[in-house]
Amino acid sequence: MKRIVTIGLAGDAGCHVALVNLHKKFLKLLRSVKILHSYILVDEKEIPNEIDLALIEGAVRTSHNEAVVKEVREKSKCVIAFGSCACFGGIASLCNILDLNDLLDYVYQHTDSTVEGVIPFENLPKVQEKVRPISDIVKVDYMIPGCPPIPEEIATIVQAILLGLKPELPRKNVCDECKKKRLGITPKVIKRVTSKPDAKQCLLEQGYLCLGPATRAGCKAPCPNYNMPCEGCRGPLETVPDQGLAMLDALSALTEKFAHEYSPTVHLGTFHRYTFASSFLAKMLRSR
Amino acid sequence: MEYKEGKLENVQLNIIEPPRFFEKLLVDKPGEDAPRISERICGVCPVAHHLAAVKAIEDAWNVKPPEPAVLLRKLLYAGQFIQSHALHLSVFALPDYFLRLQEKNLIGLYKRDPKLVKVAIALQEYGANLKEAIGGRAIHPVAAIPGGMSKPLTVATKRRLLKNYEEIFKNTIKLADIYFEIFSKRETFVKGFPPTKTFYLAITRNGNFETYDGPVKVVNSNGEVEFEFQPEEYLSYIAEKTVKHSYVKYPFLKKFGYPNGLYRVGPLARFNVAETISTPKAREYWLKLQETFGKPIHHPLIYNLARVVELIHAVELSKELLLNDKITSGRIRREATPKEGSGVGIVEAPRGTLIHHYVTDKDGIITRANLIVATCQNVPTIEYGIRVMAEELKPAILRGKTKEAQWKFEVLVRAYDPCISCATHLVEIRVK
Ligand code: SF4
Ligand code: SF4
Repeated sequence: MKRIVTIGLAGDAGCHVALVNLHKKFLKLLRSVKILHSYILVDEKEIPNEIDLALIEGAVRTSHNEAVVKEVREKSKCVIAFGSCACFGGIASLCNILDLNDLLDYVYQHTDSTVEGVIPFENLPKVQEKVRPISDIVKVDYMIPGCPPIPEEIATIVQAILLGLKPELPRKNVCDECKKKRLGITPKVIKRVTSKPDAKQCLLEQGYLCLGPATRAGCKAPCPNYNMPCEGCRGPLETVPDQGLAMLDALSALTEKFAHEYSPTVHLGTFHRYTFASSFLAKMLRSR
Repeated sequence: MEYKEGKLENVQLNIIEPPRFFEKLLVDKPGEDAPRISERICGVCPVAHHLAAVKAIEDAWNVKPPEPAVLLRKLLYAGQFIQSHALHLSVFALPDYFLRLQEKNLIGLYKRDPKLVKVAIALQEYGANLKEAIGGRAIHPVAAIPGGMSKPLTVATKRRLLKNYEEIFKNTIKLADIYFEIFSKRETFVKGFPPTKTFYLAITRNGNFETYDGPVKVVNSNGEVEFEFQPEEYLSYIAEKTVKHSYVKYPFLKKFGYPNGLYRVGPLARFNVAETISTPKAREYWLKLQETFGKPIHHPLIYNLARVVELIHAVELSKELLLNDKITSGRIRREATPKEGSGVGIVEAPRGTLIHHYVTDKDGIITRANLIVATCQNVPTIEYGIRVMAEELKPAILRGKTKEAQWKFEVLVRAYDPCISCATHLVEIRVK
């Protein structure tokens, strides 16, 4: 039986819940592999040797996260970045534009309900300057993107790898899976989702900032289907190096006005919500 | 835990979960994005954040969702309670109570009692299906938006959700009976975990159990009401202190200071605070719990029984809501206007009271965010409980029985179902 571990770093366990959301298939999986160590499923403290496959959820935020990733890499034949935090840094990496000391200072000293105390430091792993995707630290063999990933996709990819095959991710974008009607018109104004869209028509054409064109398919577009813009949680296709910039580029070509409305602080979380740590923008900021 | 020369030297609950700074991350984001961003705080109970955030923004922008939208949100939330509680009761906690189990985890339990695990998985699947149908996604749903919900429920989907209800209900009661039986047989085991007397805090509606909306009530360890306040007044009653050894903050009741003002939240607190619960079967088990253990209950392990009662309630409530004619109404959204304001949204998350507070500027962009999440509020008491147990278990530990002790500490922590369940695998006992 193949030896599997699942790891949780700086994330929210959502990817692990997605695994459990395979429901009956999850129980089948439990019968066919040996889960030796797991974030929420197996109460085993040590990371074992000779791992066939490791699923790593979450980004690297602390020295402890970094040490764990390195240890798992050393002990595993195959390492999978499991979910968008592990793949691209995820939502927490939106903090990367800020200085770590400011973050610690605000959260531990200056929120409205915090009345006394210090910034934590004792017997704790050190928080690192920036959030990083695990591929910044170790070699990653496969990615299962999504915040969280789609259960079926997890099952297919894991099973393929265990059979020695080389699974591939979809090569289409979210728009290809979206049922809304496209009329080929360009948006005239940018709208916020506080206003109600026409449920039948493409959200982007109506002026809502939907990241479908720059985002990898595979989710069946549930968000647009629920009249909410795609926020790009599955990250870009291989052919698109920077999801947010690609989207910005497309938009500025479509509507001239948008270039004036773009605000780096407000829109960072719109265009790079899940991929900031691995974006060009972040690299540029870092080299400055 | 550190023992030195036969004495308990030090106890620290080091929460090492990496801080992700959501309170800062939300600043500069449009208010309407808060429900989708903040739910990434927890993948096990995203709906709690989704709803607390949307309510807070609605409060700040002064917009009220139409009634059918509120019904949909409650149904979405019932799905969340079902999934989260079923997951905890089966995956995290149940293996602890099969004392002779070799592998004390889901896989060990599955080998011994596959039927039972199947029942639990089917329950959590029902919860996930509700979340997906109402919220658009089973994890990190998208449908709650300031002013209402983004998509109505169709009659066909409603029928599909109701299809297996009777079996779901039967299985819920089965799981409930297993728990009640385990606890009736293991009285000494349960009492081996010292009770901690604290205040209890929860929202209620007309004094009764409630999860989505209502004033906050605090009772003392005798069960007497100390005070009741509206969500927007929370800063006058609750404060947080930071400590050097943990990445979570330590909340307490302002009036009593720290540590006298320690309070607990979650299923046990809701049981102690509320008079009763609305649905019939849940009320039956609520009374059973009350008859067996009295009220208020201070025993930490009873969190699990209170959780079972809530699971029954959520399942019953899901049916009640699905049968409500208004649930398939198309009148689910009012237009919201982003503006300057300050708003507080409080819900009962599966793990306890959850507070979101946002301040927005004239464009409705968030300028300040403050979050008090469920688990943090129990952490100071968990740490205190560990200290008491560390004294009690000292003789055994000094005799070298650390492995057993370690597991016992973990059972204690797990009973609270902290979002850090995963991190509790790190109990470390040092004897010098
Ligand atoms: S990718 Fe999303 S679901 Fe997975 S850990 Fe990160 S925030 Fe949670
Ligand atoms: S539509 Fe976009 S945001 Fe929604 S699940 Fe798919 S990739 Fe993620």
